[in-house]
Amino acid sequence: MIFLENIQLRHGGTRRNPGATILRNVSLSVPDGAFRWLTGPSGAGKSSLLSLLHLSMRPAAGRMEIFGVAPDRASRGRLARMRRRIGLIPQDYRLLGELSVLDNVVLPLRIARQSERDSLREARAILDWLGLDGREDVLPDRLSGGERQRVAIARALVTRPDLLLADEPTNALGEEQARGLIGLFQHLAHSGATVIVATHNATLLRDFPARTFALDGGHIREETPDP
Amino acid sequence: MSRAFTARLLSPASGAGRGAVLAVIAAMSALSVFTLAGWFGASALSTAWRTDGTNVVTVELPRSTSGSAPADSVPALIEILSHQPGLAEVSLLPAGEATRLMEPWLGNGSDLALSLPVIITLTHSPSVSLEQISQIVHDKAPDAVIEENALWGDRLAMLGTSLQLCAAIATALAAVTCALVLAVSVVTGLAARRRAVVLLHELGATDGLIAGRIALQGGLTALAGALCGASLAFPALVFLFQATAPFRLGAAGTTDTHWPSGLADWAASVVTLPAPLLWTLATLPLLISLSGWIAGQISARLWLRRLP
Repeated sequence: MIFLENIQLRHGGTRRNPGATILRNVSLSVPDGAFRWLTGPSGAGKSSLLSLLHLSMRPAAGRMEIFGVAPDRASRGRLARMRRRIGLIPQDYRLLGELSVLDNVVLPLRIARQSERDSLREARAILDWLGLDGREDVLPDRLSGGERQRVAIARALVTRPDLLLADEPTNALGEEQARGLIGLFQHLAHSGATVIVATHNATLLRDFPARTFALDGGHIREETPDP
Repeated sequence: MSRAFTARLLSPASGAGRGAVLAVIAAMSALSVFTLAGWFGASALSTAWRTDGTNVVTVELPRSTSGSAPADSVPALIEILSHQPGLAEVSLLPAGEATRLMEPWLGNGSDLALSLPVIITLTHSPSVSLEQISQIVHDKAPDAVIEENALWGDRLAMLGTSLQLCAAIATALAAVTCALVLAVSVVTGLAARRRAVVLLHELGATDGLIAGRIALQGGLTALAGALCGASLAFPALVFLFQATAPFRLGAAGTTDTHWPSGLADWAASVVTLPAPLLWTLATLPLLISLSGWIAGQISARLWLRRLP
């Protein structure tokens, strides 16, 4: 369950000179196992909202709960454990250039101290599913944009997260792959994971109808009902 | 996370930076070897000065204005003192020896216009006080001057203690320098690898996990530097120890330096170093490694507090 109430988010700044406000009075709630779209023009605050939900940013004001826990009251160790339950597909992929594709994908499992053998097996399986078999030992710099995006997707899915946050996950994918990916996300939501996908893609929004949060100027302009 | 994997991702310094860190730690380690040896040397001297000088008393019997010794009182006094319980090694300093001791200040003994006093030295057990000795001596020779060497022993012991303190401070400064160099290296390394560290943090790595890996690297770097420094300093220390042999063995009457003739002799001379010093030097790299680990933990955890 995700619960936000009157959230304000600022970027940078100091105590005397607060930074620019990115999110203003954002309130929303998403139950477990729900699939939600997040739309809005460029600069509306979609990525920032996803970063906030990923516990990578702290709100300046408002109330927030994820997995029933208020992050501002949680210890740093608890926040780290909560982050392990969240899969993030960032728009800029955030792959480590010095690590191979396989090492990038297996990284969250190593952090979670899963056995090396199981981790490698799961990472290889998901890379196969995403059509990256045979590319395990390649460094990310040698991959195309679409391949890098698929590596980032694999890294987010390999831990089977309880909350999946995807920021324009289909940007560099072909139409068929994009449809297959959103189908997978909806399947994950049916299995109990909460999925929030930020996108501009009107075709996907039309073909995969779901409740949508429309962000504009840092606040939620519209929340469409369940179809 | 596997160690090799995180070592690659989170090494505190690399390339030239790592070499400089190793060199500084090696230099500080070598310095610590010498200061610790100095500490042990000062401690040994302090103990020797304190024990050798504490129980020795000097009795001076002034000669008459004509320069003649108080012939009747000296043998009688020696006889009395020799039979006193708690007193030992009562001896008369030969006149020639007294003249030789005074030569640096008064010139050649044969030309002395000054009449030197008769000097008796004795040692006493702790159960006999200076007052008791004074009473015995003054009964027989009222104008005798009694001087206890403990005063000088105490002063020399204080000098030894201050030398020990200086050595301890120098060792502590070397350890702090090692820790600071490693801390700066860790922070620089973290800043250079910020992207990787932030990603690990975002993927759910705890501060303890990241700091633990960084501290392990810091500890290993410190251990390598300390071993290098100690290995380089140790032969010099053995050489210096051999060079001070006449000073150390002077009391036993040996005044010549016996230099080992071959490599085997030199190797054998290592065991002549005091055992506590050898043990301390053996643990020195481990202590420096521990300080590197602690510096890595603290600096990494402080840096990670910046992340949400």
